[in-house]
Amino acid sequence: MAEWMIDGPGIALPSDAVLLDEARHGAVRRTPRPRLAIRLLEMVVHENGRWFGESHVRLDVLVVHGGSASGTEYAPQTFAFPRVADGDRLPIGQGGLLLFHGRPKWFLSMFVALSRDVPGAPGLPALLNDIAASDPAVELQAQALSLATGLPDPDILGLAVQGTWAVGGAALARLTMETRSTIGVYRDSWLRGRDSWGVGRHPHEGLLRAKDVSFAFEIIEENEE
Amino acid sequence: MNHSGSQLTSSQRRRFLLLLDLAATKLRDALSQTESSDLAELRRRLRARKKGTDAAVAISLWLLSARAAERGHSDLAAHLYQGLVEVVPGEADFWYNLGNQWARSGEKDRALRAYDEALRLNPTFAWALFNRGCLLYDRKAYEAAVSDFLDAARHGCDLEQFAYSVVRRLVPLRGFVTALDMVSDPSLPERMRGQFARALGEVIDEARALDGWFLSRWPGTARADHDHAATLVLRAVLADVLRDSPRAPGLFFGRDHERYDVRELDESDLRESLWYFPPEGPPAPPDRTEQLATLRETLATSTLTASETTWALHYASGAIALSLLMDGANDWPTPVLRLAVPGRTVDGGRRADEEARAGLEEWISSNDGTSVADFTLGHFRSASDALTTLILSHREPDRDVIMLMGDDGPLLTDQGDVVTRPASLHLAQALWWHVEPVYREWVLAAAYTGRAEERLAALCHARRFNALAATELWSPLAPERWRRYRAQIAALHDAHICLADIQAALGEEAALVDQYTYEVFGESISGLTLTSRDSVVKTHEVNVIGGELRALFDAGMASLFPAAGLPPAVGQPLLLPSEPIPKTLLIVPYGYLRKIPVHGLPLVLQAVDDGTLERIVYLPTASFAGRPRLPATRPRRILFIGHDPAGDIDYAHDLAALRAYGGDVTAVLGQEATCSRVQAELPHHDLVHFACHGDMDAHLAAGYLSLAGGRLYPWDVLEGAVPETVVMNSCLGISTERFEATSDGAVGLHDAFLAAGARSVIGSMWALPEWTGRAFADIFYRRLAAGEDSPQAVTSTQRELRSFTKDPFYWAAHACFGAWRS
Repeated sequence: MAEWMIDGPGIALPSDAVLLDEARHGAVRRTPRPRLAIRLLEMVVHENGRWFGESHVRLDVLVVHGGSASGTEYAPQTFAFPRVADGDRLPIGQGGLLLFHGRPKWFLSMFVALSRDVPGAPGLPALLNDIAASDPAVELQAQALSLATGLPDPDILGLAVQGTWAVGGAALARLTMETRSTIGVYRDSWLRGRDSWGVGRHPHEGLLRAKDVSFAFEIIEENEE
Repeated sequence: MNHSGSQLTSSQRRRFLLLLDLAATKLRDALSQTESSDLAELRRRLRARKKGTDAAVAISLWLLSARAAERGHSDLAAHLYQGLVEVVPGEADFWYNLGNQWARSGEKDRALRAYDEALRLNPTFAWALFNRGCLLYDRKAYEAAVSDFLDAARHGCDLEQFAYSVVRRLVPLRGFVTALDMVSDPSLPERMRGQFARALGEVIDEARALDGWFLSRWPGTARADHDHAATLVLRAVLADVLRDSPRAPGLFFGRDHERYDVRELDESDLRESLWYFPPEGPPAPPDRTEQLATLRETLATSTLTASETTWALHYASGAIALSLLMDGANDWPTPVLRLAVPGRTVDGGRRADEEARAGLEEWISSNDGTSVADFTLGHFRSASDALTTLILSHREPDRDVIMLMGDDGPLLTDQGDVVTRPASLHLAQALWWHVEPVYREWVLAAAYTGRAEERLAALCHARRFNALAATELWSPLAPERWRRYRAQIAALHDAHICLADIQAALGEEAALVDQYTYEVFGESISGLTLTSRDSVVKTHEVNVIGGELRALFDAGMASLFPAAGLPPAVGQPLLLPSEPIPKTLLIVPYGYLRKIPVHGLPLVLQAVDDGTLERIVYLPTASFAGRPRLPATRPRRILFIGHDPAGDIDYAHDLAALRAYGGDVTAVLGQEATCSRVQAELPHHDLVHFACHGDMDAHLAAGYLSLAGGRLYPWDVLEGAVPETVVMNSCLGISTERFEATSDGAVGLHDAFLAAGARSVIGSMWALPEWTGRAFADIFYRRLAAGEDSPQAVTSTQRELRSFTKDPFYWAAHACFGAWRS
């Protein structure tokens, strides 16, 4: 399993009380689940992996959440950035880069990896087809389905949260096989009750540093009224 | 400086020189350069025994005395004025100023003589009359003081706070009603009468401290001047009742217009707080007979324009009579009957009490033609009727927003740096706090008279008032609609109680538990259990700090229910009926008890599992027990509403369950399920099933269902006809949330459906889990198809759900409201 260089504060096993609260509120007929957007605000590459000159880099993002009644939902994306030199700020535009848009359920986990791009390497969506058949992904799917249709069980929810990390790890391992090196990787996970879905800027001020890359992102809740 | 004028004598010159030397020293910093040099010149001339004149000295003394007074050197100022009046004895103003300075330096005799001289020179000198009156008052020469005050008023005294100061002194002497005489005294200038009226209103407000809460003015309504005048008369009468109710030092349970309070008060504390008591010591034991006669007379002569206070007159009459019924029991928290109860009177005389009691009973019998019990209960009922009339007289909801400082209430809106809250919320809270003791003491009176019917009626009235207070927050409604819907809500809480009718309706198989909770310094839960044969009242003290029940609900409600089930201790204070367990249990909850799933309590579950108890139905009021029966036939026209923008609600599952039940099902789904479409469809169906999101709008104190493009609020339901059976398979269909400090809670959709004519309403008491929603729909309609009635089907469905989970959060969410008899 791949090693994550930076773990966000949400990567901690929730307590039993938190899981009970999440299980009880995960699917109630109260207000519809909020629609969230995750936006990359800024990313600076300190070392592009080449001794001299510019390099093509790729940014892979995987967002996993409990999804709808059909089970877990995966939102994989790959963004390519050609000719990036050390110290460059990735050209993601003023509005930032949309990494996820949807209504998370039960849990929300995000995995981010910046790598040197290798010509011909498949994007993360294609890699995920392979991962979907892996043991962790199959187990996670079953757990999410059980949460969606059965009596919500805190134990199963706990397993499902850990399952997303296993799936993220499998995705990173597969990605590393393709790109042979990573510039920086990061993961975090949020719950409704404990973390309010992580809504807000991460980090609150400045940039997160993950090996040779620094970045900031934000989670926004859409107002649907 | 002009040195012309009469010559000073040698003695005068010496005395004035000393005085001027002293002033020059003490007032060095207060004088301008010119004034200092003039003074120096005058002193030099006097010291040199040059010719000095009284005019020059008078000017200097006048200037220096004014400066000394400004600087607070009252003693010096008095001596300077004394010199001034010696030189210029015919000026009333100088004597008045001299009197003021002597008064300030504690020389009361000299001050009085100075005022006397000022008034001899100018008998219409209003300021001097007032100030002399104040001195005479302090010397307990009350008659002379009052005479001076009235003369000052007649001569248009324009001192700041004159009217307030006079009324504040007059009330302890002669009471509020006598002070009121000044408002109508034709010898006083019109402007002065108005000032006295306003001042009297202010001091009556002040008299509310400690326990004069019933003197509060009806909140939130702008009134014309003549209404204020009419109300003032009644308030003055009530304030005199309070004034004539002496209190003894000791442990003091009080209630002002904001909160309850308990304090240890000694004699001086009491006198300071009860400033309106006679200055010569505590009043004699009250003549309650005279008070009742006054209240009766006032009620008979009060006008409609004073209706905002008539409730309090009835309340006071009822409370005084209640003291007879209580006969020595704890007197708190009824303020009026404080010390009307034996053992608390200042003279401690039991015999006098007994004589007073006998006299009171005789008066009630001869003047009212009723017993003390009927008199008491009748007045509480009249008080409540007046309150209902008042609250229904509001023309429209208050849409204002008020800005607050340092308030941390949950319904605040933070707009930048400005914290605001709806004025209507403020009003709703004020209304309830305003009148809560009326209902509590009516219940107390019912207990002392042993009248179960009265207790049920009192709580019907209380629930109705609460519901109407909640509707004060319905600010989106136009005035006409708002008034119409409030009338419907009032009708739902019909307060006409006939015990025999209810008992006949209960028959042999049903029992009704009317629950009541109140908090003063601790919390009590009281329940009246009514069967066809008898009625029993039990009261249970609940430990506010460690009470299982309270802790459960303070901790965050249903989401923190123990997964293994509600603990037996929670059920204990709810005072459910013991043997024999009825087949049908009707619960009439009150206040926060509306949040408790009685159907989930261990005692109740045991009876359900034994097969003894078949139905648990919640009623909005006890009077609802005799209302229409459940629909006699199966619904033919069924309406299904399914909506969820997030895709979480498997409403196709609900729909399939409903279709399996049979009938002609009209399905309105997704974006079709708008409020207007639903409103158009409701009148044409016998049963409606909602599978959508629902929540509580705390700002409007109303539950709602979330539909396409908008929300279905209680007022939308009240607009037209509704199906006989309503199933809200959504969150919070039964809106039991309290809003801030009010005792009861928001008006939920279940209330609205019942008010609009539905017979049976089923909804969730908290956030409904999706699993529960689907499983409930499956089993509930299967049970209905098997021939069970809707309350029966809810109970049996939940019994089946319990085979999957013991966690009440999942299986106990639904509750059944409304009719209960097949």
